[in-house]
Amino acid sequence: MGKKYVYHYFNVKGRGETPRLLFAAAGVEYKDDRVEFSDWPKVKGTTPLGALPYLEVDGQKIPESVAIARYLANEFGLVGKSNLDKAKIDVLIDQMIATRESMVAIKYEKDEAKKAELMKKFNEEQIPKCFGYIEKTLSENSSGFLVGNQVTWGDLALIDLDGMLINFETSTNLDKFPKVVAHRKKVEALPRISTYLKNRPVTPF
Amino acid sequence: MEKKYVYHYFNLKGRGETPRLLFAAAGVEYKDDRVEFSDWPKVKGTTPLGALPYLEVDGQKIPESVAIARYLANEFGLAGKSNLDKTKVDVLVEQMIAIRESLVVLNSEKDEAKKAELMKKFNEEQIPKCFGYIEKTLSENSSGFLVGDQVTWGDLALIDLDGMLSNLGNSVNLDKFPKVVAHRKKVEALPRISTYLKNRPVTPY
Repeated sequence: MGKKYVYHYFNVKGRGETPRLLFAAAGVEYKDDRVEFSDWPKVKGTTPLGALPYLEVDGQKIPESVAIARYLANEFGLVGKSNLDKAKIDVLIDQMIATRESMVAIKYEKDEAKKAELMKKFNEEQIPKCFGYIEKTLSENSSGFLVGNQVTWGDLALIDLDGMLINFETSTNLDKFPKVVAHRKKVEALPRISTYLKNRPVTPF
Repeated sequence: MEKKYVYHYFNLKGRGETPRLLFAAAGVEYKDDRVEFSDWPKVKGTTPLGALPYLEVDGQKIPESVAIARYLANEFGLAGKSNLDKTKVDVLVEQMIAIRESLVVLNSEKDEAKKAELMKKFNEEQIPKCFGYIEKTLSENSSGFLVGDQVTWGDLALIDLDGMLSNLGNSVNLDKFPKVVAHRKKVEALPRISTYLKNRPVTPY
């Protein structure tokens, strides 16, 4: 008997898209509850930590987008084949999270001079560090996936981040990382992912 | 045949103590390589991401303290009994990471006025949010542990954080969270943990 999943997030990709990519990759049905910003004040008190996203399953409410993604990845077998594979994915995810956090800091920085400084550091340090490590990881794995020889949640988180960077104000150019570019094409062409990307709601971010 | 583990970190608790607590709790031997600051320039280039800690096992180098801790927890059966339990631990660890990250930002803020503002927010918002959630979690679990009826890496990460907060200049007071206080006593009294805490090197932080 299949579990009933309800996934609650705003009608954006933002921090909440990787779990949706996981449902798509696994071919698992779920209720995609997209919360309108105007409804947020009502909804906030019903969430475990006063934030979105959260996942409802088995009568439980699970917050934290990364914890949700790891949970679904484990449920759906999209975590690699061993505890070591899982750890390698976690390490890659940590780099992507750091990049996202830098982006959030830039986005919300009101002081123009400070913002310019953060953007410089982002492009000159954070992006080379994160994507250099990812490029190296891809170079060492002949499958074209990040870890092992099948798609994992690490691959989905990466294409999610790629998409976000293209839209981001620093206009980050990932062409310096050819294996990352090839990876994105490969993963986005997987049948279930391709279908999902074609049909998902178009949102500003 | 048993695995050989080598754990590399500075001679501190800092960000690297939870894995050591895991080895202790599991009763598993490892080489505890404590890197002197003076040796760091030499060692840095040998690390996967130019940082410590990293764990060596099965010819692999795993960086990122949280990924290492989760890996060891899964290896040692200290991660929780189900995927859902593991996720509950992940969510709790995320709250603790957020506290640690706030402390890093606080400590590196040079502007005194800005620092005071951050400390106020830390004490009035972040500590209540994190420890309120942890206190609620403990209230809902009769075992006295965070998740399930046995110690998990979540419990070890929590006593590690408790210890760090006790040492802080602004003396964060956790007495408002009686179950957290009781939890710390309980976990620190577990035989293997108690022995480890008695014998570990004394370090400033």
